[in-house]
Amino acid sequence: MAISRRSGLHGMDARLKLALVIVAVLFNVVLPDYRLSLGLLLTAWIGMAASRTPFRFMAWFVLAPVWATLPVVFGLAVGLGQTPLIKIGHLTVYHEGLAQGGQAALRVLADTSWAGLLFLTTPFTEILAALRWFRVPDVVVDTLGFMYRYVFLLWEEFHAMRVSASARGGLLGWRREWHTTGVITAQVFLRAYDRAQRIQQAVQARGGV
Amino acid sequence: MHISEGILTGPSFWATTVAGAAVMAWGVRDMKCFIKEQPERKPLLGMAGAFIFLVSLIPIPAYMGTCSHPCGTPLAGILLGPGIGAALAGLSLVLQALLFAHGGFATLGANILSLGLGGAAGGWLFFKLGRRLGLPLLAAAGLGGLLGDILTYIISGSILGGHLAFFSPQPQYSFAGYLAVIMAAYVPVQLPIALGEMAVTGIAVRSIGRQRPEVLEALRVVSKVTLAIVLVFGMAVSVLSLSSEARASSSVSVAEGGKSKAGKPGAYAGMDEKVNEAMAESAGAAAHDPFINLEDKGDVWNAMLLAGGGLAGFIIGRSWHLLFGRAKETPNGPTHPVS
Repeated sequence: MAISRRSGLHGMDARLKLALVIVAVLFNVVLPDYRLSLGLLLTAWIGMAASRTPFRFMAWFVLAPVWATLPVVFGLAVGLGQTPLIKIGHLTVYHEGLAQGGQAALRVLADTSWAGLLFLTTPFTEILAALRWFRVPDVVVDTLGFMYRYVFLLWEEFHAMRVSASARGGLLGWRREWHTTGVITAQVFLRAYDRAQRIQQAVQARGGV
Repeated sequence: MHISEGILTGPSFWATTVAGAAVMAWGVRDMKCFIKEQPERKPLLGMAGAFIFLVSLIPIPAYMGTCSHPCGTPLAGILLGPGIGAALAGLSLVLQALLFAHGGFATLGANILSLGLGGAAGGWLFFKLGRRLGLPLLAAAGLGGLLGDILTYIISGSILGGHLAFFSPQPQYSFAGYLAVIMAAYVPVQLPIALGEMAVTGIAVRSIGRQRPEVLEALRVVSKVTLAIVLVFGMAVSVLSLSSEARASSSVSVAEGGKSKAGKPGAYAGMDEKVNEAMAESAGAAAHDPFINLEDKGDVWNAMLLAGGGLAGFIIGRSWHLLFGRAKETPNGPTHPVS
């Protein structure tokens, strides 16, 4: 699906969006109130919808943290509070704990939605430029750029080697799978090492430093 | 192994963010030194960062048919050193938060502490100790992978337990109680993953060493300053957690009029008592006092800790030459150690 670069927040300056995300996350954490979290969550969703972000991408930033959030909600519900609500076997769910858990879940959704709002409406190169403008050290910005550029390539190489090993029976049984995974990991690291050297040589050949 | 977004608020958020920023500053300083010394290896940092990110996505078989992902940071620490490993772990966490909503910005500091400091620096520390004690690459790297993971879990559990015990309204348990509950939940889930990471880290480092030993030689950038920082930080965290625990237990005693549940002034009625009483009750027996109760023996427990620390200090001091090399003898006396 093609997304218009002018629609919604796509046209907004990346520096402003980055600052807004930082402020939103800070407020969400420093002033833990479910109404604030709810407001931030709705604002982020409205921002994404106004930017015509595909629904599946929006859903990803909602569903991805759910698996990690549910145990937290459960843990807070049984670990905090004094007013019993429900008794499940030996565990008691407390009213105050459940409220805390729900509030934490709202905070998670609000924060990840704002992260999604930034990432889904801003090209990564613009995020890097904004970081540079905010005086983040060059070595950090350059490294982040390299990571983003090459992580998918390395993943494809890893995946191809793993499929190949699987076809040869290299993943049969957990012992062999651990061994194969270790060997493939070493190969991927060596390839990354060699590729880094070639990149530097190419940069120097073009007059870079 | 992330602390999820939105969990830490208030003082826990500020404390972990400031501490995480300090770790990042240390790592960025190491990255700058690395580039200054070896400018031709600048892209290696980015490539290594991508590698760490990738490792954290690798599926490791855990329980029957299930799989999880390793921390990846012990391997990074072993290959690139503790500072760079910790900084790259931090950057990897930023990308994970952006791409997968995994972890998050508000828990970035806490995750840098657990995965960066515990995983990368801890993994590196135990790897170096293993190597200095003469272990082969496979065993030393495996040790680094396993203990780096365990350290990650301990730091994560301590941060979560500390937040719940000290900064949450109406906590059910003390810090030790929450830590026990969190660890009890971690062990069955995370231990197989830690064992898997031990195997993968050991085999990966051994493979690199067998195929391209010059790569391991070129990458082994180790400074004594980083080791000292890791040791000092570890000791500071231990001392702080012990003192906060002592404060919490004394405040419980004061709140209960100096009498604990067991009726012993200042005695700590926490998770252990509750669990033991519940277990005894379910077994149809009456709970009784422990056969060896160190809490009744005044400062015996503290003395044992002190003795343990002294013994560990003696062993480290005795093995100092294994860690840092012997001093080189010259006509004018010993000078720089040979590593």
